Amino acid sequence: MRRLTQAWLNVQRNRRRSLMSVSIIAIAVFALLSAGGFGLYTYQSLAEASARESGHISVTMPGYFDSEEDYPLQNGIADSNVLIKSLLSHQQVKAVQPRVEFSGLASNGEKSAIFIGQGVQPNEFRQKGPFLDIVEGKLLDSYNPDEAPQVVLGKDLARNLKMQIGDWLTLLSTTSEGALNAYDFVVSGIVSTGVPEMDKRLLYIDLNAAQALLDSQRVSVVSMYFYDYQDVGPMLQTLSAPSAQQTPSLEFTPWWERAVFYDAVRNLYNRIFGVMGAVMALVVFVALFNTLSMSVTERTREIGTLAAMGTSPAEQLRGFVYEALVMALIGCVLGIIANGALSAGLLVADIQMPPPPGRTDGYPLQVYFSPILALWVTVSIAVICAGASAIAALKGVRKPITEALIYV
Amino acid sequence: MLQLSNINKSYRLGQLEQQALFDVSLQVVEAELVGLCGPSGSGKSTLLNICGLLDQQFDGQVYFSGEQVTGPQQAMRLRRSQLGFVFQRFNLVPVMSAFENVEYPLQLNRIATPQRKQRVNELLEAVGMLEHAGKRPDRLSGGQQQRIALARAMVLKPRLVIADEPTASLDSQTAHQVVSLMKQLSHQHGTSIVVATHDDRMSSHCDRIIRMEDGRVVSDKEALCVA
Repeated sequence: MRRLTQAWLNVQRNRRRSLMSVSIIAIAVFALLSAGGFGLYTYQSLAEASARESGHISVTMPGYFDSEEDYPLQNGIADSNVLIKSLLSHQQVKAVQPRVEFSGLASNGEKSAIFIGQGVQPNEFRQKGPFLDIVEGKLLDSYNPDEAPQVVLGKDLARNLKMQIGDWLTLLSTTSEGALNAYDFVVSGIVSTGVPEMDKRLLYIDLNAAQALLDSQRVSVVSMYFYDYQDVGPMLQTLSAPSAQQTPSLEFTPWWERAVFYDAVRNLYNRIFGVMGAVMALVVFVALFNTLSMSVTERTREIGTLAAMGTSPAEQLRGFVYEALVMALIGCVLGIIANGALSAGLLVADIQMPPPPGRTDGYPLQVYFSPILALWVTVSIAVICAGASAIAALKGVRKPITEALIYV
Repeated sequence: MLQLSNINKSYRLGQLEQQALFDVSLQVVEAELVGLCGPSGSGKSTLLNICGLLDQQFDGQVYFSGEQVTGPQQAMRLRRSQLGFVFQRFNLVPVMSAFENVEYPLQLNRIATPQRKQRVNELLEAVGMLEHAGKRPDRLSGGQQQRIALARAMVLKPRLVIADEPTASLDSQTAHQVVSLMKQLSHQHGTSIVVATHDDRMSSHCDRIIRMEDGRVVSDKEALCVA
């Protein structure tokens, strides 16, 4: 405690200089935490979006994602209702959604366009939350075989085919037997995914309608959704265990193995923030080295006096390291407080970021406050400061005592 | 107690080598107050540094309590436990209080807290500074600072105290008080003191005067020093 008190008093010897060093540390910590917090927010948002899109775990027949089908639903899951019932029996599972993935031609009678279709249960939209921007109309109603089947179109596909709400659209696809089949659908809604390339091709129809179009009772994928995504890992192990294997054997793919965009962004941000962190670390190192070098030079005679009394170089170094740690601690606390204020402020102020490349919609600017990140940054800054002070002090404590004592 | 044998010391100034001490030998016995006198450049500071084990770059032998001092680690250990220092400019640590300055050598030697406190209070009382124990050096006069420096030098009951012009920065009355105090403490604790000085007030209190000129001891006797 006494060493820390003395370190604090030494820090106060030249207040303006120490204030400058502490400010630099605080700014660096603030910048690192803000950048890191923004990264964490982005990662979590993308992770949630990826998991929402594909489900926390996708259940398929083995090799479904690795190989192309010769005809629709060739590798589909038969008896999906039994599987769904079995999966829903796990208490961690919030919902299970079967899905049929298919493609074909959409035609308005005059013009045709290639589409990528998804046959889903209408309640999937509610269960997944607001992941689509409804441009016009509404999402799918519950399936009624006596009524005209509905289709929801991506906005660019709708524009391409000049579709309005209530218009009729013919979907042409290949059945699971290889024959051509066509159904007429009425447009119930036009949506935007935020990704222009998807909006040009995407459409949603009811699962039963998709199965009728493809003339199969199979489904492509069964998506599992959990209450807590922390349960994904353990559940994956449980489901993949040989004793739990279904007949025929199924493949369980977690969301992160299919989150290509998430991985790409994360890798990019990690590199950007890594370089930024290194630059900040260098700035802090140079600032502390400069401050401590001046301090050591000014205190050369004092260093000589203490050495004359038998203080070892290591003990003297320790004193300077404590000083640097005091400054690091103050700077880190200030930086963390500023980051917390920014994080809270952004929750209140609705600041929108411009759309990322390949997207049409912006997103709210938020910076997560992460205590773990704050701890890591604090420890890293403390180590950098300690290193800078030790190197700066080394020159002083190595000076011959007789020279140090007459230093002016 | 301290023995120097055939000490030769030279400094290199660029291409030139300047001999500072020529074959100096001397001995300091227990509880002796030795004055080291001589004009500027006579080598007394160089000799004082060697006596205080602050400089190991010389030819010759130094013995402390019969033990030859051969390396910096040994010198550091002896300085820490057996020697005290008083400097012309006091050299107190500005961020420490008077009490803490005096306490510092005891801390270095890992003396337990109760004994430390007792010993520091004794010394502060002996130098008449107990009431100023909590003050930092910048709130003390030169004379008061030198008393604290003296207490710091004596707090471990060292065998040898090295004092470099301890009265040079003091007025005559304060200088007289400090010199008397040094002598009193030296006799109380059986501590030897080697003091480099130009000051007659100081040298008049010495038991023995060593006079130096041009790096050589020219006289070594009980006599008044005229710098």
